[in-house]
Amino acid sequence: MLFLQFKSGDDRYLLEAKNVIEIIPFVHLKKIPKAPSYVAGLLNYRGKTIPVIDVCYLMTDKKCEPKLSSRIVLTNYNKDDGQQFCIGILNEHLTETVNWDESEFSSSGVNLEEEPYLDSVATDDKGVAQRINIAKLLPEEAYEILFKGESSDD
Amino acid sequence: MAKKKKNLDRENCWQRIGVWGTETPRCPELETVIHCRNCDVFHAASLEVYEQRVPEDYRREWTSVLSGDKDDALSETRAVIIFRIGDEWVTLAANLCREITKMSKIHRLPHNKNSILKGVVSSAGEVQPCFSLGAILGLSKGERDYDEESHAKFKRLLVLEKEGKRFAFPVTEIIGIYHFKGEEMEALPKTLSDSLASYMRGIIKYDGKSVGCIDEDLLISQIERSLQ
Repeated sequence: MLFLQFKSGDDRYLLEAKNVIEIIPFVHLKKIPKAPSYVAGLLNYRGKTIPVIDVCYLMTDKKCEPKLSSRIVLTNYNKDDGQQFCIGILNEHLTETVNWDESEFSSSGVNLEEEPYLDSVATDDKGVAQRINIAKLLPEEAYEILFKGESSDD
Repeated sequence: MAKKKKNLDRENCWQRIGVWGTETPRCPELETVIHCRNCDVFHAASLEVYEQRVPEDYRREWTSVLSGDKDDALSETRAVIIFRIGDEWVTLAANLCREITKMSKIHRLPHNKNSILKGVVSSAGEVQPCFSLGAILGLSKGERDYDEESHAKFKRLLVLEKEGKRFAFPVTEIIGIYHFKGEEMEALPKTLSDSLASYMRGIIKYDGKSVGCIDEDLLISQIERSLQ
C-alpha cells in the first residue's frame, strides 16, 4: 500500500494515499474567525470551499509553518455513518511516499481518547511509523462547525 | 556540533566527487549507489531545500491557480508534433509518434511500383517500411531554395505506431511537441489543393506559421490500402 509520509519532530506518520485527490502547496487560506485553532482555514479549490485542518496543531499545539515542505493533502473520506466529506490536511515535512504492507501494521497499544486518529504502527530500521486515521481526524465539534447541513454528494 | 561538522564535510559532495563533479578520488559510495540521486546524503540534502519558507509570490500564484477552473489545465489540450515536409508545415498526433531518429539510409525495394513506398529503413534495430508523406499528401518538392547541405542536418526519420504497426516517414525538419486547445483549430482555407485538403482536419497557428493538422486515421488507412 502506498502512503504519504510526513514528520512531526523526528517521528514519521503515514496517510493512506488511496483517497487522496491532490497534494497542493501551502497556499493562502481564508481564515475562519473564532474557529478552533486546528482549523487552518478555508481553501478555494476550483470554486469549491474545502476546510483545511492543521494536523501540526492537532498533534503538537503549534501552527504549521509556511515552508515548502508544508503541504495540503486533499482527501475524500467516509464517516462512520457513510457520509462522504472532502477535507484538506495540512502537514509539515510532507516530502515522501512510502510503501508498507498492510500486514506490517499492528496496534500501537496506546489508546488516547483525545487523539483517536492515531492508528496502528509499523516498524523498520529507521524506527516506528504511525498511521493516521483520516476519518477520526476531525473532532466531532468540528463537523458541527464545518459541515453542518451540507449534503454529502458534492 | 559533531553533526554540523559532518554536514559541512558532505556539503555539495555530489558536485565535487559525485556524478556532477570532476574531483578525484571519486566518492566510494558511487560503487554501490551508481548515481548520486540514489544516495542518502543527496536525498537528505534535497529534503533541506524544502525546509525553506514558501516564497510569497509562489503562494499567491498557487492560490490563484487552485481557485480557477481546471479546464485550463493541460489535460484539456491536444498534443501534436509539428514538422515540415518540403515547404509545408504539418502536425501529427503526438501519441502516435513512437520514435524520432536521425535520418538513416533508405533501402529501396526492387520492382516497387508503389509510389508512396520509398523503401525500408532500419530504425532501432528493426526494419520498417518507409513512406513519402509528400507523395501521399500530393506535395510538390519544396519551391524555396534551401541550401541542401545545411538543411540535410535537420532531416529526421519519424516513426508512427498504430495498433502495433509501424510506419516511418522522412521529414525535412521537426520543431517538437505542441499543445493546443480544440477551439484553436481553424477551418481549412479554400485555396488549399484538394489532395492536401482531404488529409487535413484543420489549421492551427504556430509561431506565425499556418500548420495543417493531418488526419492520422485517414493517413494510415490510405497507406495500408496502398500496400494491399
